[in-house]
Amino acid sequence: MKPYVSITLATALEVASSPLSLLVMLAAMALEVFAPVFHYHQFGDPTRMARDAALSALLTCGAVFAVFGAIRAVRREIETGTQEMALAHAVARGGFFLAKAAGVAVAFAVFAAAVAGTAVTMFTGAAIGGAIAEQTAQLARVYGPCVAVGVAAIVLPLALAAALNRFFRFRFVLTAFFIAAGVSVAGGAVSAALSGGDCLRLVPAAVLVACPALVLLSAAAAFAVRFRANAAAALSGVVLAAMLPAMDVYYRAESLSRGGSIPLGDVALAVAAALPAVAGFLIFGIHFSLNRE
Amino acid sequence: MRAFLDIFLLELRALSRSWSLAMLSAASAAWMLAVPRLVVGDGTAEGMREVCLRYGLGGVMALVTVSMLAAATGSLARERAAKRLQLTMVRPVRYFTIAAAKIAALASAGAAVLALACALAPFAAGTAVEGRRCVHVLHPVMPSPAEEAKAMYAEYMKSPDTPEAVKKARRSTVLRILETRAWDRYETVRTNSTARWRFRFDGVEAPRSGEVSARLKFSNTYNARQDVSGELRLGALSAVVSNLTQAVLVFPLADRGGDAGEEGVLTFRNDGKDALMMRPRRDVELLVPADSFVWNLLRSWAEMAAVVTLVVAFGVFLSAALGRPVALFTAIVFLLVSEMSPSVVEQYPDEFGATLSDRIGLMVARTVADATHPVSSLTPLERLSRDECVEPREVARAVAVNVVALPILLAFLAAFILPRKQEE
Amino acid sequence: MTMEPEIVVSLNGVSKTFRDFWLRPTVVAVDALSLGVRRGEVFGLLGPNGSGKSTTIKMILGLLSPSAGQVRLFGLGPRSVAARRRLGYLPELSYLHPFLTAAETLRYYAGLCSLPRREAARRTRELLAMVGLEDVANRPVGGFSKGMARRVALASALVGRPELLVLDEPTSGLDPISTKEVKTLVKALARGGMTVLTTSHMLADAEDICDRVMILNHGKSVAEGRVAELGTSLEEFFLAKVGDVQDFALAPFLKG
Repeated sequence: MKPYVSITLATALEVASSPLSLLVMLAAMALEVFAPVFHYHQFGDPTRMARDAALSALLTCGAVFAVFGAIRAVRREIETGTQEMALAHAVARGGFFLAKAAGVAVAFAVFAAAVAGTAVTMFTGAAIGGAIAEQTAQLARVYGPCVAVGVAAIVLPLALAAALNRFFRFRFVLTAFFIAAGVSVAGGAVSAALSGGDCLRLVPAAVLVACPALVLLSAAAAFAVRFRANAAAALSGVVLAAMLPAMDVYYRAESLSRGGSIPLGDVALAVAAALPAVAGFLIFGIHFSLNRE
Repeated sequence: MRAFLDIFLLELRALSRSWSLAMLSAASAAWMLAVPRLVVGDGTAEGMREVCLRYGLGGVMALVTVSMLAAATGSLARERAAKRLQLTMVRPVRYFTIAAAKIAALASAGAAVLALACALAPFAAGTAVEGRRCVHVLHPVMPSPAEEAKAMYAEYMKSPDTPEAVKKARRSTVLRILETRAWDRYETVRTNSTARWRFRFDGVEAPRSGEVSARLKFSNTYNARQDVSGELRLGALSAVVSNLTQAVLVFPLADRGGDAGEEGVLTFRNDGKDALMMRPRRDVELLVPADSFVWNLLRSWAEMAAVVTLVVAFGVFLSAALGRPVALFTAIVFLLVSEMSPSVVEQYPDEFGATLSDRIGLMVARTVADATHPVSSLTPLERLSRDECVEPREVARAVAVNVVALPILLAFLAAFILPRKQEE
Repeated sequence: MTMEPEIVVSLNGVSKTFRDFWLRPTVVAVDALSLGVRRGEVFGLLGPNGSGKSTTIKMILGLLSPSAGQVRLFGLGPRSVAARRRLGYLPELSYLHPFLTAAETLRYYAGLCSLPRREAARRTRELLAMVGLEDVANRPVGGFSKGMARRVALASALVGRPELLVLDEPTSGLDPISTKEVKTLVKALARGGMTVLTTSHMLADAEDICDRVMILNHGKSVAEGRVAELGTSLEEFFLAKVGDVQDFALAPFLKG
């Protein structure tokens, strides 16, 4: 089991140390922070905007992160020949593929946690801003300190990672990736505590949105074993297009309106519906791995 | 020149032998033919034609833009990563030639796929091409909104009605507000009075009976659906106006006898019982016959190809400076922001009463909108689908800016970066 | 009175320091190196891994710019098109476009050297025959063995009839027969008046083909001289200058 854990961790670090991963994560967080802040785009309802921006960021940026992360992780091993080095040890081909996919999933989980953390912060900020607006009869705005936490989760990791790189030669991208995730999750936890947990309604919705991304991740990983990067990305696009008609099962922003929440049973059902697709693509990936020459 | 051609051909070979070009062409053709079956029109043949042209060609345009951007962002970055670029760079070839040839090749490939889609468009739309004509859309001769804004500035700032916040604002901000107002400036046509708008027919056929139309939109402050009546006159041509307000109406002008009006001046006499309001810059147009649909399709293709060329040039430039995934991501973010910015700027011309964050957002949107104007302002499909002429001078400007000037500039920048990037 | 041969490549006090993002020096790859390669000679740049051979070659080719000192190629800056017109380069690995055939590859590089089409076609045939690949001229090089790809790369370095041929580890990855063929070819080219600058790990190969060698260690020149005048084998000379097996980290393991 140990070799597979090593491969999984190495893959997670590989994905996290890619500049694209950091860019996608920061772009998602920036979308979450700035979309509800700009008065002109919130239509006087920053809570709705915070919610929609968070789920959209997780859906779109999550798909990009999952697809490119999986293709890069799997394809590079094949093209640089490092897969053969690993397979020369006591590592099964199918297990190697699963460990790679699991590694990408671990990196994706960090990404999703970061995006969810910022989402909770901004959702709380919007709710506090709404309450203040009711008292003062002014236009609702996101509560300033929450915006500051959101901005800090984007800027602070870059500054800290730069300093750590400058003085201790830490790897910039990897350091920034994990600090951003840490600051975002910490900010989200503090916000959740401040709001009495109301903003955690967003979490089941985020879990639902992560399901299609995981399907895409497994599909992209499987395709990358068999096809080149461009073809694998195109085929993943086809999978995404095929999932679009069922997307309202996973994108449940409206269910959160007017203090609503998503029943955990719905989440469990949707996750159960996504699992066969994930398993199916992983089986394809194992099949491609075993028959790859 | 020889080196340029060889790099150009190499890039095309890379596209064709990786099947990318074939797959893109097949996907584009399939989309053009599938659109009439996928998109529900309004039930009329004309409606379906509009759907096919706008969504069919629009979809192919989006597909080609993204695909070519992906290829462009990989063009130099992947060669550099595979260390093949250094083999080209040690040959007697200017770095500018390398970048320019790659831009030209990818732009040509994109243009070829667009040409295929355009060739399929009439079949997909299911309408006869032969005999179909497009029209020039002429606007009244007036000072440009920017000129009008400048002319109004001093008076506006002196006016006691102008808010203090505006008076303290920067000149450029006030001019922007006045320019927006100039676009929407209403002209009131009182009952039993006549409004006059002068038109210039430079480079277009003189209006003939039955071939020229006036397209107008009447408004009034009282009723959204109120009868309008009156008479339009252009030289010896005239039309009777009798319809409802708030709709865009087209009135064919024909020789119906009566007193000939002033040449080149469209007049409207309001015979109705209420005053009407019109924005001359937006609501008054003359439609004059132009050339055939095929020529219009060709000009639309040229404009779309010009956009693709600039996008490709930007991708190649980014590819010189960044790794492929980061270059692609950066390019897509730029593309999305540039698509969104013009609408933000149009909706919010001023930042009075805005918070700091809003002001920053508007400043970013304005800067991006200004910088990406050469691409974002080119939208030929809407006009093509309505049989409005995509004007040759506009196409010439698009080609000069998007195909020649900016790609050359971006190729120079890429050439400047290329050797420096080797140092890493 | 004998004429001094023209200096084709000259490096004058050239240093190259690689820096990180913060502009702190990370590696001094080449340190105050001066050398001159004369027209018609085969000059070998020898040294252990990391001694600065490839960095020196890249500065000569204009792919890297020196941090200090001056590099001249035919009396010109190495990035000038005029200097590059007289240059051929074989990199350490072949780096070919996998989708091109062998003939297309040569025609492509002939085009970059501005050879007219007819001459490019003739030169392609000639060079493919020279490297023994006429039979596979129309096969994509992506499917070639390492040795075949190496031969295509060598042919493409020669396609523009260069006056200076820069070879980075020319025999790497070649079998003994191919190695011998390459050495014979280099000697023949030198006899024909071509200047050759080569790097090599294979001291025996360098001894066979080089007129003059420079040994680099830690970016500095530790010795320079004519191979014929060394008075000992190049290997012994090299080890004397660079360090014996005891100097390597492997030594304790070898001693058991």
